[in-house]
Amino acid sequence: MYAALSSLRVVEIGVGVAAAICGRYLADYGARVTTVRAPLPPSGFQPRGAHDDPAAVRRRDAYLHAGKEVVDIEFDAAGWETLRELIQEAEVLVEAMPVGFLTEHGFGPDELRAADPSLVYVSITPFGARGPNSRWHASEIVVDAAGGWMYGIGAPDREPLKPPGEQAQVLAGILAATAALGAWLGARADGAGDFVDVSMQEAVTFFLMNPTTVEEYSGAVWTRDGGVSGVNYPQGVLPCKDGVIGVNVMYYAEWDRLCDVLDRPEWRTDPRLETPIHRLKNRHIIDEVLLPWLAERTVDELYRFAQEQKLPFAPVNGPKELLCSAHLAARGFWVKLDDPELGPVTVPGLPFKLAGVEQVPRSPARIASKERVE
Amino acid sequence: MTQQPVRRLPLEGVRVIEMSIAWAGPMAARILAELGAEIIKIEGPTKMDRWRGGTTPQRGLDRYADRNPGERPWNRNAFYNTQNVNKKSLSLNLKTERGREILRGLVAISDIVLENFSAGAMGRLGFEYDDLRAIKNDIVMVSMPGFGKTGPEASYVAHGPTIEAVAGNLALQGYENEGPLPSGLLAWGDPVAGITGGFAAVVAWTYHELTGRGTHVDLSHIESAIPMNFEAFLDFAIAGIERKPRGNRDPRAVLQGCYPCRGKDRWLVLSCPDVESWCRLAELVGASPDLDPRRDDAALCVAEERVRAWTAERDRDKAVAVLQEHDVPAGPVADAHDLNHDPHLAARGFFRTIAHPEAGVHKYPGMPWQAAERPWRQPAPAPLFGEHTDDILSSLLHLSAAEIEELYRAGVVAREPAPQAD
Repeated sequence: MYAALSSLRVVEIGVGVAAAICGRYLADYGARVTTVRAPLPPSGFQPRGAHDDPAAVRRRDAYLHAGKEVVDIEFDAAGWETLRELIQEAEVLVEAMPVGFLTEHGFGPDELRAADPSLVYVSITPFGARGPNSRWHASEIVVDAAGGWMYGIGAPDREPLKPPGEQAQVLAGILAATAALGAWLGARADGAGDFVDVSMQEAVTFFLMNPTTVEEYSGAVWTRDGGVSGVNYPQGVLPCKDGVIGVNVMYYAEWDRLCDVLDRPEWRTDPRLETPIHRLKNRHIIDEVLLPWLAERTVDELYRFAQEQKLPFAPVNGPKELLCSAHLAARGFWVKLDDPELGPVTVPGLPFKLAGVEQVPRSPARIASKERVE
Repeated sequence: MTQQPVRRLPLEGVRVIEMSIAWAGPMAARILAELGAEIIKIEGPTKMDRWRGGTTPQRGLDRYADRNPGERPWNRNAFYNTQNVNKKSLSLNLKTERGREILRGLVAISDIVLENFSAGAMGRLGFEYDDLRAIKNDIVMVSMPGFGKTGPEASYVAHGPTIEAVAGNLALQGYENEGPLPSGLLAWGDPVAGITGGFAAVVAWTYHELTGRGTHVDLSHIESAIPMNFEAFLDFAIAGIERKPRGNRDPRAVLQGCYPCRGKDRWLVLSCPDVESWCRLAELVGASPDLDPRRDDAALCVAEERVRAWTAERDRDKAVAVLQEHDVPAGPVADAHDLNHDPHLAARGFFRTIAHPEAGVHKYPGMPWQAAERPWRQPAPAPLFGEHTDDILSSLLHLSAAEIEELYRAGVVAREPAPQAD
């Protein structure tokens, strides 16, 4: 962790992982974060169902809550009082409870901001805190679909496909952390805190960036392409000697280098392969040479050799390969913690480094003492 | 949004030099622009932002307004015009000493330099962090190379789709029990790095505000991408569990999936997080509530067949409304047209109408949060190529009209890009 934000105190409470990711990113850069764990409210955002594996929850908490203070509450008088005290000590509150839940219990933005006008109150919800769909029942897949993500993933003749994991929530968490810091900078400048209303659906649409403007400009609706570009080749996942290799020869300079690597310098000026679209249309010409060349080489050979030639080839890594990556090891990415519940564990490290800023080791989660809870 | 801002935006008065192309870097800079920073985007006359699409169309016409590239296609590209709202474009040839001297002059009066070149490129130009610090001691630099600034693979090259492969998303994405399926046009790795880069720049600037000191952000696209699938990494690192593609299922739910609706390529998703919501769905679709879809494949098959029969004969949005009324989490699989016409997003003011001098009047996606005290400004359209060159040179660097004209003659700056591909 870096001690860049050490004068910032944050309280987070939420269902799902968005609030915890927001706190994770702020804590990684020095904010003092308290996470409040509470029972799942009866309705609204239901990210993971009633059948969550307790061991998986412990693994998640080991990562999400490392370096944070953890306070467990029930939604009873004592629990609400604990939450109120924690918020009073904080500059930023991040909440990802169902829309209206905190307001119904006197912890809405109006009440809390009236009590502390400099408070930054960040709310993360599936569809935002206002608007006709704000109270929809949602889960991760609902947001992935409604934000436009799923329509673009999958095979053209099959059902749309969800991205893995809980990525809409992670994205919303990172964006909420950005918004929180911005609002806090504002509060430091003129004393006025803010109410920040983050929508997971909008986080997805923002992430996708281009399809809506393309439709607006030309009426074209991008659909599922099976991960095969409709405007470029060679691109995608191609077979090689011992598996598959990711290939993305997108720009002209890269294409020229590939022509040389395949010993086909004449392709550089072949009118049938002039533009990326020509290369896709006439891919059989390329495949005749490229596919046998790939078939003779292993993933590792191709990755190293192509990268020496400045060609963007990539292995299809899983967690195992990344945990063993010499590159990530040299950069000190993975973090080892002594978790209070799980013992020694390895968890993902910092999303970026800061030169010249004091570093402190990421400590495990600190479970608050019972006295504090009571 | 017609509401006028009542307070200063958090980054008002912060000047950012953006040296980045395509997606990740410009997206990070756009976040700063929306937060009020002044963005000066450097574009080489022979190497403009690739998302301008080159001087002649390279990859189809769907990204040009009215499918018409016009006389200056580089000013009519949907990708560029979305990503670069609220920015200024300075055409500047950094291959010339005079061009680099102008950039040094700008660094001296700027706060942040944001770049997404490959790891060694800024050093070759003489603009590594130490060089920038020698010009302005408290400068904040944000570097976003694919593999980071250090390490044995620091020189490796990447695009979003190869980052998706190398950083672990591709291995996890796919239909159940099938192989990996790439995100294709959505290029996953780029926006992940872009969104994280925006956060990184705000962290670095906050540090500057708290301490008066600059810093250098080293953002590797891989490292910024791993947290997106953090749970799969924890499963393996802590418990040795290797995740495979799960399609649309979630083992924690009683039932979850994507089902066809009436019409061409219309779909909805739903999930039953608990037995109660499954019982409500079962009653609605005419299945037995005693049927537990988790029991075995046959039970799942029967349950899904009932759901599919029910959705297939219904209008998607009406079916979603009925499911919501029955407290079943559900939503439409929205395409771009749906999003552009979504009443909910419209009520929230997510899309913003911007008049662009060469692309016309269009809606563009806005930012994914609303702030009550510091609402978003009506954005300026993405800049034409080199649109602000004269203004920046005269008002910020105090060059005379004659001096500026000489720079045009010498090819240090340009009014139009030289012919180039994307």
